[in-house]
Amino acid sequence: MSAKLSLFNQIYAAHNQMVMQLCLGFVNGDRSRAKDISQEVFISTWNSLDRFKGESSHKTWLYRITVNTCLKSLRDNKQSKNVSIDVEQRTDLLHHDDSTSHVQESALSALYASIGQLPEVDRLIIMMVLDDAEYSQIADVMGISEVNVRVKVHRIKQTLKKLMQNEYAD
Amino acid sequence: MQIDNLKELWNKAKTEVPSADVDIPAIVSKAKSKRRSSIVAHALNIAILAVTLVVITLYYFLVMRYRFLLSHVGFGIMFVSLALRIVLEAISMIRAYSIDITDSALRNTEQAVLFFKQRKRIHGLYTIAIVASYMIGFALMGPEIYNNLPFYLFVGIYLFFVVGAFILIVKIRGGIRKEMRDLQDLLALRDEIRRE
Repeated sequence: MSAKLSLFNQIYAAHNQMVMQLCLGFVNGDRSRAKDISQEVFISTWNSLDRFKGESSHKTWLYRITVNTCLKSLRDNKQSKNVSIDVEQRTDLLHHDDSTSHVQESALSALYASIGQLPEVDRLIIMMVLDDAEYSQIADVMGISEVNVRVKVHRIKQTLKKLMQNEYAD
Repeated sequence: MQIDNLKELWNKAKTEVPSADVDIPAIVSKAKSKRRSSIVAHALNIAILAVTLVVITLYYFLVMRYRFLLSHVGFGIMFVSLALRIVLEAISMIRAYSIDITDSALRNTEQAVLFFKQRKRIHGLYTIAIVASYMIGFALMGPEIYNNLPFYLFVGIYLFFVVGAFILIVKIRGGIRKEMRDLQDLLALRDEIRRE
C-alpha cells in the first residue's frame, strides 16, 4: 500500500464520522445530500493530500475542506437553504440502539432542527464548537480572528438557545 | 439547555451518525478521474482554440494565398483576436486552479470572488470586443473571398459565421447570468464570514 493511500485511510478512519456529522448538520439532516458532500470532501482530500504541509493538524485541515465543500455545495444546489425535514425523519438520522433513550432522541432531533435554522456560516461554526474545536482552530478554518470567532460564537449560542426553546415548545 | 449539554449530545450523536459509507478504492479512482477530467476540459478548450489558430494561419498562407491588403489586415485582426482569447482562457484556467479547497473559508471565498470577477470581465467587455473584432476581421477578408469562391459558397460561409456568432453570444450571455448569480452569492458569503 502506498504511503499516500495509507495516510488517506488513516485520516478517513479517524475523521469520517466528524465529516458526515458536519455535513448532516449543514444540510439540515438530508442524509442523501450529506453523503454526497462527504464523498466530495474525501475526493478533495485525496486530490489535496500531496499539498498537505503539516502546518496544522489533519483534523483542522479536514475541517477546512469540509467547510469549503459545504459552502460550495450551496452554489451547486441553491435549494439547500429551503431543505427541511420533519421530526420523524430527523430522528431517523441516527442508528438507534437500546441505549438511545427517547429523551435523547428528541433532544438530538431538536438540536439538528435548530442548527438547520441558523445561517450557513453560523451553522458550520457552532458545529465545530460542539465538536470541541478550539477557538483558535475555528479562526484558522474560517480565516478570521479569534476575537471575531468569540463574538460570533456568543451570538450564535444565544440564537441557538432561543431556537431550541422554540423546538421544545413545538 | 447549556452548551456543555449540547456538546455531550453532539458527541453522543457522533457515534450514532450513519457512516458516509465511502468505498475508499472507489473514492481514490473517482478523485483521480475528476482531476484528470478537469485538466482535460480546460486544456481541451485551449487546444481547440490553438488548433483553430494554426489551421486558419496555415490555410491563409498556404492555400488561400490572398494578396489584398484588406485581407491581410482582416486576417491580422482575426489572428490577434483568437490569440488574445487563448491567453484569456489560460489566465482563467490558472485563476481557477488557484482556488484551494484547503485554504481557510474566507480565503477560499475571496479567491472564488476574484475568479468570478475575472470571468465577468472576460465574458463581458473582453469577449464582446474579441467577437466584434473577429467579425470585423472576417468581413474585411470578404472582397477577396468573394473573388475566389463561388457565390453560393461565399453566402454560405458568411451565413454560417453570422449564425455561429449569434449562438455563441446567446450561450455566453446565459453563462454570464449564472456566473453573476454565483458572484453575488460569494460576495454575500464573504461579508457573512467577515461579519462580527
